[in-house]
Amino acid sequence: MVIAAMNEKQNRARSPRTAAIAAALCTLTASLTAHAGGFYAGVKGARAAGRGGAFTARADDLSAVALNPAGIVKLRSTTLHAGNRFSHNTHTFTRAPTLDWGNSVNGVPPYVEFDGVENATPFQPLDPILGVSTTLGLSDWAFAVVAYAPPGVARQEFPADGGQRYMMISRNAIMVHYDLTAAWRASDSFGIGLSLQTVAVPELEYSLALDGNAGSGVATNPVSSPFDMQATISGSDYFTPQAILGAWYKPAPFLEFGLSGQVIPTQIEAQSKLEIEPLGESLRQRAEALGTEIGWFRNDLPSDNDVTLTLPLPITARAGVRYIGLSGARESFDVEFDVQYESWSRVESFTLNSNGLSADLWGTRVPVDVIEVQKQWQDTISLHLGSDVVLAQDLLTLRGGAYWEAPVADPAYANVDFTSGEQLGGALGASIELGDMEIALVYDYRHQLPVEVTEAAGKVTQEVPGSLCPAPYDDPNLCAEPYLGQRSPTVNAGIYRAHTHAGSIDVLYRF
Amino acid sequence: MLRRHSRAGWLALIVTAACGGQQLGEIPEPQNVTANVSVQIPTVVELSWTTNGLARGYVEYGATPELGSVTPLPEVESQAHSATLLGLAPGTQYFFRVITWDGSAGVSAVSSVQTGALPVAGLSPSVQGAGATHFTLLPSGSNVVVFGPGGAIVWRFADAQGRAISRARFAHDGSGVLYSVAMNPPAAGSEIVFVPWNGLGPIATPIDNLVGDFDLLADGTLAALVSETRDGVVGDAIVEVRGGVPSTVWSSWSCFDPATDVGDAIIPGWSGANALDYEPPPQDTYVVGLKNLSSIAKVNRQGSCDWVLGQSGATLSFAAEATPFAHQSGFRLLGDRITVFDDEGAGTPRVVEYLINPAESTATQNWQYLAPAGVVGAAGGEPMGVSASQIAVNWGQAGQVELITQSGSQGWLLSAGAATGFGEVALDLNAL
Repeated sequence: MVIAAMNEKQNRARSPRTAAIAAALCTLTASLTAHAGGFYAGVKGARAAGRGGAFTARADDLSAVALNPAGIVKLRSTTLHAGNRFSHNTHTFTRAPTLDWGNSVNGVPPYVEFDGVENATPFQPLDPILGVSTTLGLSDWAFAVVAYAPPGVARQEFPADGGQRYMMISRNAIMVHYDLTAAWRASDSFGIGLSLQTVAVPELEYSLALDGNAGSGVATNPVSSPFDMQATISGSDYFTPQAILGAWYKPAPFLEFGLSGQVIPTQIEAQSKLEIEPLGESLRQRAEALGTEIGWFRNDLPSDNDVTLTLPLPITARAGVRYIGLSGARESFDVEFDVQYESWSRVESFTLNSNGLSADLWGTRVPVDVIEVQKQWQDTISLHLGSDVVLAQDLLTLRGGAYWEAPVADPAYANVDFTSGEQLGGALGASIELGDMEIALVYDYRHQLPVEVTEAAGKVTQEVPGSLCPAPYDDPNLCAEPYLGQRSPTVNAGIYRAHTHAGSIDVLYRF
Repeated sequence: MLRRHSRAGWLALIVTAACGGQQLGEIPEPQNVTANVSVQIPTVVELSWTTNGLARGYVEYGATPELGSVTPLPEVESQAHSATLLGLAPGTQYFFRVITWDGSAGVSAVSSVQTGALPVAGLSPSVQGAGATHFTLLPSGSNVVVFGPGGAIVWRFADAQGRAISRARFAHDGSGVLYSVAMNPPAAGSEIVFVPWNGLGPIATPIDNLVGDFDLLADGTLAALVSETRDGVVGDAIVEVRGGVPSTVWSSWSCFDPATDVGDAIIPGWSGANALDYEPPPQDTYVVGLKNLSSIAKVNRQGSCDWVLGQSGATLSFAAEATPFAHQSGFRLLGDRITVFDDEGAGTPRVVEYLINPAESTATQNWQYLAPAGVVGAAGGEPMGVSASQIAVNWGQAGQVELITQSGSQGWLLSAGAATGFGEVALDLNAL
């Protein structure tokens, strides 16, 4: 059985080199530009991913620090775990046709159709995990130091003139979790663990188009405005603490339960800079004619363009049950079923607070105020089913899994920045053991079922900082007649499609 | 049609997944789209369609699949919709699609319809030159005709009784055309007739003693010039007709005195009113031309004259270098500019523009355009405003319409092939 064989290796090797290696690995990992994250998609670790994420009960490699820290204590030898996930992330959007009220002819707005757009940076080559665990010679304890990028789509770029531009033009999120884990087992049938992590976001960038029309104050250009501008927020946040608690319980040799959760409500607060470039023809002409930089003001006094971008992170909970098929004393296969809960309802909006900043756009003063990209996300449940089958003891194990994830957003709040619809996926993988080394490979296909929302139902509206239309947006003198009752034109109507091909390769060395 | 899926539990979620994703909202797709060519006027196509919910909609149409023209967008939402395609050439295939809006935009497939042949009734229209984009409405004999920019007759209605028509105007609500049938001399039995675009069910409003010209107020009130006789003197009056009931708002005695403003009886009678325009609010005034007095008066709704320009009863004086008009026909008042079709003031028919200054009681000649040699027999015409700078001159009896600016001819000349009365122009029959 794989488990029995592994335990045998773990028990025999407790190297004094552990601390030095761990330190080196941490340094190496920290130096990586770990493009990953977004808001997570996928499973960390090739062995876990190969089971469709059904790993909470099993949790017997260093991906356990994210999935169930208690699993670390199952590693009875010093274990070095290095891996990477490669992915190709296709995300397309075709905006729903609309009527261009801002360019009506004799009161008749033209019917406008949009070309489909897609993520121009689909290939993500780096999504690593690197860590080491050790028992430090203690019989019932294990410790791990791990750095990993949470699985996800780190970067997306769409055309600056595409139909999606009022939702998002591009984003880039570099996230690394630095983790210290300790786990303890009371017996062979029960263990608990705690991961203390800090989420470092060395680079966070989000760009979208705004209608900077501050002249009429009426938001009525759903297709394009001569005062369109591209606003880019870029910043960083190096310390967001969080903690994951976990436990496993094995009441019988054939049955195991796992439970874990990220229990601290946290949020990324990136101190950022706001940059603006002209997109619309009028602003371009002004910029070219005046040739000056944008002026930033607070309380009518010159100011820096510093802003704060806030992104809440979820509380999570995972529970799994694993059936172990035994062949004698060794494990010949297992089947695990997991349920995962994530409290994404904490994300009501991506909030850019400018603290009263206003921009002088070549002669026109536009208040930036607070820009809120509406999210209204909802808590999610995901189901994971996976299995390992040992084909050749100590040599080859095949694994497979499938999963389903509930949509994180109501279609009314669909957006191109994250794949927020229902997702289905499946994975196939294998582990090859070569002495003390295990090489795990997996191919994972994740598919978002199409999300379609009409303009009347959509809730993501154009950002028009200079709009004079006050809530509840029903003043016919200050608000655009076609959009009475909403603050500006809906910009997220359309069809969203996304899928990801991902491959992971992890190397585990136990000594 | 999109429908929001129910989410009552796991089963619903799984069913939703199996159905292929999440869909939210309903597009107001046009349904039951039908197109009917008018039997009476086969260049008019009437479209109808329905939507599941309340929506607004319009039609895009054109002679090619690229479409290009649109019907107006109604302000009121409904589930049963209709639109009329106007300005179509006879015997031509037209393409169209329906656009709807209820907060979301819907669209039908592109379809086509064939217009029918349209009798030309003795007219032989032709156009010289290019560059015009307007439609021209003119009466000719007992017909009312709309010419397209290229000279083709795109709409024509013949008075059922074969009576002569002196003035035609577009209905302000875009629903059709009105024309006047006056007696000569003015008498009972005259009327103004409204003809819907499809030509079916014309409605006549009897107005005794019609002189010929009339105009429309925004609320649908008809204002008409009628003959009025006092103590054996045949003068003129403006009557407003609401609900078939006429009321006099002004008469030529209000601003002129037959004892001192004698006139010369070019038109039988004293004042010889021959042209009327209504200036909508904020002016809310009439401008009336009196051919026998060679004068034009701006008349307010209280029945007095704000000013009079001309050779009788004038309150404005022509500047020394100006050539006053005489026995004028139609005119156009635009702000402080009045453009006059002058039959005799310059010895040859001309269009002349004056800048008027009521505060200083002066009128300065701004420019003039003499009837070109190729326009034979020009008289009894009018300047019709195409835009602030462009004027389509109706050379009346010559049956020709010429596009000019104050710089001169723009090289576009429509020849109707017969004498024409007073009419109007419109850049878009759907946006009157």
